[in-house]
Amino acid sequence: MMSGRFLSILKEVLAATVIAMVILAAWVLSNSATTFVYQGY
Amino acid sequence: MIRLLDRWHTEPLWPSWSSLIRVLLLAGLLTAAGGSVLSNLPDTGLVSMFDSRLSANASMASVERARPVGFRDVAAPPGHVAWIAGSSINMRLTDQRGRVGWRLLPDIVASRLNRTGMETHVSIYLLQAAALYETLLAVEHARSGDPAAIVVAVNPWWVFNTHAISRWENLRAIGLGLVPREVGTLGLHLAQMRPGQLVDFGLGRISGMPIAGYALNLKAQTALNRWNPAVRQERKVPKPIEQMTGPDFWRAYSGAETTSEYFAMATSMDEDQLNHRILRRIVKSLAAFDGPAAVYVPPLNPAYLRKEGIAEIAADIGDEVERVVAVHGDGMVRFWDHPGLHPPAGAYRDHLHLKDKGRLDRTFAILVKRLVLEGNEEGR
Repeated sequence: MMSGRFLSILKEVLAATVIAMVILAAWVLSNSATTFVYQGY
Repeated sequence: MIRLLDRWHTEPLWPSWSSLIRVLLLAGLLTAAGGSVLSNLPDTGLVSMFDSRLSANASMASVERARPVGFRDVAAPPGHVAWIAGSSINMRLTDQRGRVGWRLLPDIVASRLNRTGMETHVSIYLLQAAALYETLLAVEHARSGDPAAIVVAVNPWWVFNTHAISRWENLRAIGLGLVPREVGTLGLHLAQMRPGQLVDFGLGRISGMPIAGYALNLKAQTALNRWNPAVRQERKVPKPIEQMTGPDFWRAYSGAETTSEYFAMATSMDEDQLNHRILRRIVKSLAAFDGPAAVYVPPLNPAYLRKEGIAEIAADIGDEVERVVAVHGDGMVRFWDHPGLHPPAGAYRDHLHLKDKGRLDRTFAILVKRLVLEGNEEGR
């Protein structure tokens, strides 16, 4: 029973970490990749 | 351990609501914690690129493309000159040693004025694709910073067409991410916003995080587009007519007989047109500013005008901007047109941008100096 509870907590932490990492990765990518690309106008 | 892993698969698949909430709360906490660390990462965007090369006489209030939630706090001293332009001030110059680099016209002008003994600091707004609405927000922001003078460039590319705000993917609706300073503009602002943008805008303001819709960056897009047959195909055909800015449209259709309603709309200088209303608002805002202000239209490459046969339309645009300044400027706003502001065809890299500053910096230095001095004399 104890291990089941532990597992469900672990899964929750894992899910939360994945969500946070995806958001942060998108953020870093969008910040670091904005090289000046000349387009005219 | 083995038993634990066995049970991993036998745990119920569907989480409870409370579990979901715990996951989301924890994800929010982790994002905020990670974000606070990552926000200190150096920005490698457009603004930083220019920022690092500016002289001490200039500072950048420009929005950053990845975080278009406001203008950057300007470190400009009181009595600075606010210069609101767009890409027309980006110059690709070759120095005496043959090195090529990007420079900004206002920075060169400020340096020149400082060398001649007139202490000048410029605050530069908007570096690219400044459609009129973004220019209006910049004017309102600049006014609140106590400048000695405001200089506004009205790019013929962006005036009198249907693009009140920038529509490029990587710049999309930057203007809408900014907060208007005046109540009258707020109405215009909200009227242009779509529900999704309102949410983006709110979240961006609260979190300081880049807004999803804006953060689409060109590099990632270019990489993705490489594998996208639809985009590859699209590049071979002209842009859809609705996505063309005025001169794009003229270039594609000049000389052609057309009765297109879009043509009429895109090139209309009608007073009811949204961009015309925004231009009037810009000029009125400058007139209400308690200092001198000037508006100029960056000239297009004369070779381009000849080739495309659109000189008349470009001249009409200049005339109309001048007329609006004369009528709505209450005599307080100058319109700059000077032979020295028209570089020869050889100085251009393309239709608008320069590779040779020629006498442009000298002419602008004289105009800016006169503008500031006149403002001082009038005690405005």
